[in-house]
Amino acid sequence: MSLRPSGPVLLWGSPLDLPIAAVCTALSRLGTPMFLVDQTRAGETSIEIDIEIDGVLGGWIQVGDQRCALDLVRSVYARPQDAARAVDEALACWLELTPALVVNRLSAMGSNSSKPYQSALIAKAGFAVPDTLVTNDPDALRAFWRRHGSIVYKSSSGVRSIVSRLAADDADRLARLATCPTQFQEYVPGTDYRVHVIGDEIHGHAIDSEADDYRYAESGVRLQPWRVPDELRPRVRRLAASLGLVMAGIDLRRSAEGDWICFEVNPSPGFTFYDAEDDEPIARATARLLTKG
Amino acid sequence: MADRPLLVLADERDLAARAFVAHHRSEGARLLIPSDLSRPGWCLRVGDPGASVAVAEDGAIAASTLRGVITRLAAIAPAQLPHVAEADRDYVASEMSAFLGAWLSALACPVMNRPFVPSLSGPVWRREQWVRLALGLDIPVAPVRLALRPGSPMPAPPPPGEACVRLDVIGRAVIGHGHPRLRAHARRLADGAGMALLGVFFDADDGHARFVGADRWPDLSDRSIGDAVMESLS
Repeated sequence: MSLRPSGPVLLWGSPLDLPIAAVCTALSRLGTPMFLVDQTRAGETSIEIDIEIDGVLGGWIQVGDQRCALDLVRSVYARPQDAARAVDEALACWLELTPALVVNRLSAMGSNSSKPYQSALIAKAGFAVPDTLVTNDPDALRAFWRRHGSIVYKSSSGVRSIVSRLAADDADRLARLATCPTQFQEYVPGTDYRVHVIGDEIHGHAIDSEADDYRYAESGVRLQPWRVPDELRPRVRRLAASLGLVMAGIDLRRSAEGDWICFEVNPSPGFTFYDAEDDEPIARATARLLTKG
Repeated sequence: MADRPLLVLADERDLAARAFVAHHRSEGARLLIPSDLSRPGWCLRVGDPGASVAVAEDGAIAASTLRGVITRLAAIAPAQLPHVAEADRDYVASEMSAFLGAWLSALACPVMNRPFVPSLSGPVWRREQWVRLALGLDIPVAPVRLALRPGSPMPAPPPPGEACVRLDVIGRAVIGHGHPRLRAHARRLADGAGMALLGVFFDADDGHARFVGADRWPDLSDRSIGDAVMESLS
């Protein structure tokens, strides 16, 4: 019989980050012990870390006068603002080594840093993806544009960008395309859905918006809790698992023909945007997962 | 070009890459540098690897004609793009890295080392992660400790000691002198990390030596290593 871990949940990020704050609240309600590595106070609070591998993995992390034995950590919720400081780099390394549940390891988040790479993985996992061309060749782009009639462009990298429809006015800008291969996708009309996979739990929201990118719409975005259809549930679980993600925010669109098209899998979803119901089901599901370890 | 091209993705000032390309040019070796990403013609169609196109030295190259790619960069750095406006350099470097990660991953030809996105060349592991892999493979390791105190920088891994032995895994070949057991360990470490090019250090040359570290960048300018690369791509 294996013993359930009884140590704290380690939270890494900023307490001002809404998902971290929501998970902290939900963990408190469950009475689960926490240990916060607060990146916003790294300058004013001393953080020390000691990782040792001598046959087995051991070590500790200390924030101010609070010390946490790393082998007692039951699970980790990681939403680092960045991991450039040495102590963050060391903690990121430990996340890759620990057998504890990690939501999510930075290595698993890597696929999201290249959208076309992730699209190929999504397609391999069995979801339709929009026809995608990444190019700096104006002729190839024009042919792609003609083929689809309506196309959008967006960042290939994890640097956030607003998904925008390519318009006739943009034709003059194509001369600058050569500087860097840019990602273009067929425009797929339909209704947007966001599915959150949290361990075994699945939470869905339907999004009603006229915007090309509802995340940046100034108004007119309506979110509704939505029960993910039974036939879709194993597919989204498999997709998250195939990317090595314990928690994922999956962006789907249902086409007029009824096909499910997957645009992206967010490995560190800012779920509070969707978790507007009074009982915050996504935060509570995340807290349950972390508590279980 | 008589031979199918072999691209070497490297920094413009990577002397080892330049030496390798110069030596194997007649066999199709060509240098691919970050600024080549700003030459029009690059293409990637997700789900259609046959449509991929690169642009290097002589011009556009259909990916389907490539003999292979050697990657000597983990990412495109802003400093490697002096032709891009300074205000845009960080963003363009991120975009190029993301593009190359997808482009290299989609190739059907051998890629040494295959990307481990976001890295363009195998996993970027710290010594502790290599040690964990070695332990999992039952390879003897020296204990490691990573201790950071407030304000201290990330310590660099200690340089291999004078008694250390280096073995280079190049495709199916293992180059260097060491006990057959160490050669087998080096082979298994490279396979375990999914890397076709890997330097592996042990703290002695006998069969009981312990693994102490790895180097993702074998010296391509070394003739025996260069020849082994070409052999593994033939």
